[in-house]
Amino acid sequence: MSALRRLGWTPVLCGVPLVAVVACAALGSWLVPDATRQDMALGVVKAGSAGHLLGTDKLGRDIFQLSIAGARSAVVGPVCIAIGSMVLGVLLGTLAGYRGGWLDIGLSKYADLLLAMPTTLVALVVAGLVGGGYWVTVAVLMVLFSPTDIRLVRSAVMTQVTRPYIESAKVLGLADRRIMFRHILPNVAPVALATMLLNVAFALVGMSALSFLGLGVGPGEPDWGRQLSDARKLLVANPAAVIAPGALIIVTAAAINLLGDWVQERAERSARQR
Amino acid sequence: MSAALDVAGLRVTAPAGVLVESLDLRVDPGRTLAIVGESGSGKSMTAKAIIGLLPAGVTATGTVRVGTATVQLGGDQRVLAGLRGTRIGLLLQNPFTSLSPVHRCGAQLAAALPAAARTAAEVERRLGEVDLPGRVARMYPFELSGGMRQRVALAASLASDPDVLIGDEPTTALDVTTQREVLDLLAGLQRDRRMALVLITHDLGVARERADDLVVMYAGRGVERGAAEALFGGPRHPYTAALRDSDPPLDHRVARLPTLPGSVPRSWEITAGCAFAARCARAAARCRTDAPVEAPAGAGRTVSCWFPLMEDDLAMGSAAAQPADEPPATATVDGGAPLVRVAGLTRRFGGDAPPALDDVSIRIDRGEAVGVVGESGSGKTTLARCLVGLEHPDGGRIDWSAAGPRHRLVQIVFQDPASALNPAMSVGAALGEAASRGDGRRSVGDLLDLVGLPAGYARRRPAALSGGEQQRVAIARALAPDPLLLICDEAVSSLDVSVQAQILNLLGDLHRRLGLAVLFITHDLAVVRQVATRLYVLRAGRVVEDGPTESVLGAPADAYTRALFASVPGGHAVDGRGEGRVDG
Repeated sequence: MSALRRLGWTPVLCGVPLVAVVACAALGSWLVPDATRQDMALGVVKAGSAGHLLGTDKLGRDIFQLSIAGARSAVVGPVCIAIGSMVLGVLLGTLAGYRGGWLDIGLSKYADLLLAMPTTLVALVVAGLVGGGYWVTVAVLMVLFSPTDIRLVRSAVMTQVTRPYIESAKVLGLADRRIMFRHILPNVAPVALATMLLNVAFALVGMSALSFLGLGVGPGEPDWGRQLSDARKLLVANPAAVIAPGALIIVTAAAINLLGDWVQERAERSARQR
Repeated sequence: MSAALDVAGLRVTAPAGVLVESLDLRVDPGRTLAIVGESGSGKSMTAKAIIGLLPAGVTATGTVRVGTATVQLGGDQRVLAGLRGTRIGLLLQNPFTSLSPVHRCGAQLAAALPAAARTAAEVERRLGEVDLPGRVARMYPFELSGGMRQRVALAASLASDPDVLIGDEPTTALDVTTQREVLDLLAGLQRDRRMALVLITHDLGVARERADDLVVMYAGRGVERGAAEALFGGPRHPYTAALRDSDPPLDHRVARLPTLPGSVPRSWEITAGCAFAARCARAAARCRTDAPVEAPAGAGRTVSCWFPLMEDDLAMGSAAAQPADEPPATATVDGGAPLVRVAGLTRRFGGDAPPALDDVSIRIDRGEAVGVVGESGSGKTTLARCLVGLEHPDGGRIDWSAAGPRHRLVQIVFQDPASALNPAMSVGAALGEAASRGDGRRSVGDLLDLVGLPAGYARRRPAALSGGEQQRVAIARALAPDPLLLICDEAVSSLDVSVQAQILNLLGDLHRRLGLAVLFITHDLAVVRQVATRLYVLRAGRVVEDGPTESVLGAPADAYTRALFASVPGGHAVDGRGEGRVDG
């Protein structure tokens, strides 16, 4: 009980749905091996029908099973995007913030340029040129998410660089790489981790939107955004087909967001106490 | 005579525990009461409680009487809010943050005036009262110097003509010469208005020179009170005596500063007995079990100690701080070329700003302790940064007579110990890394031993150390590559007096034992007198005077050095009062 008092309710309330989603993503193919099996003869049935808790879509696929199977693309892609963009952000942001000079100007201009581009539009264009696909979308979003991470890490690094402990490391004649990654990075990491968590939520919504537009996952593959798009016309026939994936996107994104805010707050508090 | 401010049974409590325990204060009109203590003594919380500005979660109980108005703390906050800014004024430490950066000084001053008096003429008169020209009303705080800003803040805190002014370290952020001006101004205003002043300070010199009465606080408790002269002349409480003795004197050098072991405990960690018992040489069994009661100790004096100091003890105690006849030992290794010779060093920041360094030439011999003194903006820190390579001079030469990479020649210790260590790195990891930059002779254990810390500290994080311990680790790290020169850039200025004495002694020991050359960069003439054999006085980027410490400070040739020396509070006022007060 003391742990709960110390941490508060946020990690528990957010953790439960997130653990469930991650478990579904990991164990989906074992839990619901037949999620994508079609039953054209059955067609659409409403939620609560025999054997189909949330009913089926127009291909006769079970919504409940499909939603569980969809957790994988909802987790894997966004997590890859968040990690990838933060790796870019840490590498380039640390370089820009520590080295300064022309490197900083160049990297900042690059970040400005990417920030000026409308994310979804660029993803659409690239998908049209390369031919789409889940991993192409992931790669495009990774690059498009990186400028905010570069800026964040750069400014966090810049507040550390003028501190006496970094100057002491310079006076000790330590290599720049060692100062950047051994001294600065651990002190920037809490903020970077919190931002990464928030980016997972943005990426989930972004990926779902692209799937909804027909990019991202291929037809027939389980994905919440795709489900939402496919079931648009079933709003009357089986409302659960739309509500289930929509609710999952909202709950997952909100839980990650709240948890990210919580982590960020604690990271900032511990940074202030230093 | 009725008191201007009378505080009875003040108790301040935070979630962690008690911050101030049953404190009584009394100031008469026109008098000055100084509350002195080291960090963690609860002196600032006392001021905040009296004026009703405690941070969230901190509560106070007790009675505050201002003139005829009586307020029960912990009750209705509106009563106290009514007194604040009308009967009680507050002057804070930092003039950079106590004024709004986006409003003109005149508007800020007018806002503090009573509604009927908010005229341009009144603002000008008020500015004149603090010796500022009327044009300051149209200026923004960032256009003013630190001293001028503090004068504006003073005018604002006096705007409602309060009966009591509480100054919370009001001159700590200022240079000594500016500090003297502001304190003189304050004394004059106080006399004209018969205003009571509560001066909260860690600076014993300021308290000694400016206060009529004194309360010494330790870990949230008032340990001794009485007339300032009597308290400094013959302290009864061992802590008062130790505090007085560990403050380096300006007028002579002592062989070794008397110190207290350890640092101030947190007030809520004291569960039984006397708060000072753990650091007190006189502590007996009773001190560890029973909290001492406040007992009268002569005319108007009280002391909270079971075994207060008597006249004989005092004669004995001060033997420890006897003047040293010889200058600090210099372990010159070879009489040949100086270790480093700086010639014509120039550094400019920005085009038309005056240069931070303007043709500065100094030399440091092997094993020599050299001081560089100057106020803010004198260029002393820029000089240090050029020597260690953090700054590149625009002109001039730095010639080392020894060979080797720069980090084996010179290392630096900075002012603020809290930010000098990587918070994410254990002490052992930081020292091990630094030792790897030398020839590998020194182990982490050796380094900790060198600075008087137990070996077990290697596993600790910087946040788990006190300020003095952090500074010891920073010194150990600087010594790890076996440099020939150690630069101490204000390395003791942010430490408490008792800890400062420990660190100064440590640096003196290291200088002698290791044959290390040391460059002390400081604003504090008393500190530099204890440690340096030779002295450079810097002003606006130029060396205005140099020579052996005793002759520079004994008979300053330059007018600026003389002014600097004369400004040090309590410096020559052995009788407890400075002459500045008399004619101020």
